[in-house]
Amino acid sequence: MYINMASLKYISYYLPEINVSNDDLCRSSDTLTPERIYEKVGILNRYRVVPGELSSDMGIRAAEKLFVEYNFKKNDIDFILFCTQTPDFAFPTTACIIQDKLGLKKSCGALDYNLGCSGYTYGLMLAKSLVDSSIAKNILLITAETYSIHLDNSDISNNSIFSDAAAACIISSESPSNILNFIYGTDGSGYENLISKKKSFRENVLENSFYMNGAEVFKFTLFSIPSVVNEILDKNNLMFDDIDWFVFHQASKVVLEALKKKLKIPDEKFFNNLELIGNTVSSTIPIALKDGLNSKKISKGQLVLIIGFGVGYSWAGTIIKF
Amino acid sequence: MIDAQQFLSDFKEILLEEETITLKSNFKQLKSYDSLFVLEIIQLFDEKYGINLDISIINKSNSLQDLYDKAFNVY
Repeated sequence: MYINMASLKYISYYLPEINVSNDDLCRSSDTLTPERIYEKVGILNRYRVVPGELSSDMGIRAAEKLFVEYNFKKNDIDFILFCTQTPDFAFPTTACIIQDKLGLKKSCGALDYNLGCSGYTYGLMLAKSLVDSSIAKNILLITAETYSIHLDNSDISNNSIFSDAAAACIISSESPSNILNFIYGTDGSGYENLISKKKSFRENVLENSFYMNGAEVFKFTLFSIPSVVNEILDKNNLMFDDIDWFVFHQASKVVLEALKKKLKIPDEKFFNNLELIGNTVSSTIPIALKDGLNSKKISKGQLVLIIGFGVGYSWAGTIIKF
Repeated sequence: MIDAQQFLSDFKEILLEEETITLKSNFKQLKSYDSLFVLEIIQLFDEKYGINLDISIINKSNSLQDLYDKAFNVY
């Protein structure tokens, strides 16, 4: 039986201890200034894991924070979805390690999936499918990424954008559902434009394995994502003006500004929390939603269009009614 | 098709305030030229001229006139 009943209920996130400012980034450059970096990428601060801290560690901290913040009984979780491109090992599945470390029940399902900037919206879609098909009632969706592990210190451009973080969400069966219909897609022809050839994150590390062709990734975004936004609206029988907030993957200032301009989204409906957090890959959207809810910018009853896009190329989006 | 002077005028909008440029200038020697500036050039062509600019055109161009000729197929 398939009933539309999945709801995004709770969100928490974790930011690691180390802050990297634009001043820090400029120490190894003779040409860049902190002001210039800010002007270009729109970021003042980004986060880095401490040595030895991995995505699973951050994911566990985000989940533990959520259990406390919402007084959520972890025994009620019957499925973990863990999104990362920096798993602890090639195998086993990091979600299995998380199940054990969080002390979740053994009847809990657990799987990893490897996606980047579209990872949150894909996870939400998978969670909704599991709940709507009555396979599970309470999904713990964790997104966690340590792209800093991939980056060479001399690569100021990518170091200025990416930030480490994790987010944890609970998707539960609750009527009425607040997660509307999804649009998703893939264009694997762009796979080489954002890639890491690192073999493992514990051992056999290949240095300088991160590569991003920013211009090609930008072109994919600029020429593909606006039509996806319109498809999401069509799929949900909604008009552009019905949307209260547009929460896009927080890629960088130039990407967000280009999309905002192209889609003619008014400033007051366009969410941007990039400045103090940076691009946390799969966690940008849940962090933005949480910040929006905490600051009361996003309020009950509002329609929020979310869309993740990037490495793969891969994209997915939907609308959430808060 | 827009004329070269209009293109020059549009291009100046994405430069730093203190920068000057002519059609003969090598835009890759501009102070503002870096990997992110390339994104701004792509956006300029999309926004102003509705052109999905091939990145190889930027890579193969040096002067602004060169970029104009290649992007607008002026031969």
